[in-house]
Amino acid sequence: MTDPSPPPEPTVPEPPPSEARIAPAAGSSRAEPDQMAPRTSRRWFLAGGAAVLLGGGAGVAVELSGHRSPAAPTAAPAALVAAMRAERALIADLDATTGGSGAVRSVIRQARADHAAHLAALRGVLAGYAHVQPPAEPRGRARTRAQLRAAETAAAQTAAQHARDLTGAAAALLASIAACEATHAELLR
Amino acid sequence: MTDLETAWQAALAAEHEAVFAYGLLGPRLTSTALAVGCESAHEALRDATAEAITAAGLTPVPPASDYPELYPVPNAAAARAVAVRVEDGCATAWRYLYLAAASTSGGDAHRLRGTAQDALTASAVRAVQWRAHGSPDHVTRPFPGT
Repeated sequence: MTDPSPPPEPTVPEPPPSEARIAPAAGSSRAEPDQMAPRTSRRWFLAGGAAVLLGGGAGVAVELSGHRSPAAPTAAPAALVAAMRAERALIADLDATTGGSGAVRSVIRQARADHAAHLAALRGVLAGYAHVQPPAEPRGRARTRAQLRAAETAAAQTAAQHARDLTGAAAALLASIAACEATHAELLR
Repeated sequence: MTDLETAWQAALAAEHEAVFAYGLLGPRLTSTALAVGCESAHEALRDATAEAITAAGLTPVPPASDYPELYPVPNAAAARAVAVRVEDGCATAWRYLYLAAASTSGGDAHRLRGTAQDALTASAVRAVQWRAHGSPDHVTRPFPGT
């Protein structure tokens, strides 16, 4: 079963160590000691001290940001991703089905709206996980009433199965979606 | 009492109310076939739920002596509206049980998810059947039980 707790906060990888702290910038010119010595002054000491302080401060900031960095986002449960894809496929088929009696058109309109609501809800849940690469837009096919009914029946059963693979609110969401899809099948009898 | 037990008893209480409601609205309907089928489905679910609760070592919640929120039922349209309300109420109760079971580990919780899913779906379908008698263009709900 999938962990019912919400996914952890998205995290940022620890930044690489500052190159300035390791070596001078490439191409920077460094005066030879014998050239520096005659011009050493109090002003140079002050400037050097300030640079050390700034560099130290930057190092601390980098260290702190590293400690605050959370880990990588959790991968989305496969059941949620599959459910989202199933909703897209159902919508594509309903959009491609342009015929049918007035009664069937009415059911198609309602089912289409319900599936769009399911898709939006699933996207909302999936937004809490690592980005899911959206698949290519499914190509729908015009279906007969019996085929639409069979598709809704199968979708209800699959959603109920996906719900059992999840826990907590995500599971209850899919349980509701499964029930809704069973109502579509009922209306297409 | 755990959340799961509370939700289980709430589902039984909803079934008690549904059985009472169909007895009340049946005489107001011109065609009673759907009501009779619904009533018998709720009676079976009520009995099975009470038995399962008893088998789990708990005392099943008894039915109320009356359900004033169901009244009045002056005609067939009001009776159908009550039927929709009752089925929506049952769907909510079973979805609540599903959520409680899905938030709990253990064999009982896993088994109850199956029962709750079946009952949620059945009530959602019956609600749609009743709504279809009214305005057929607005009968479905995207998230039954919420």
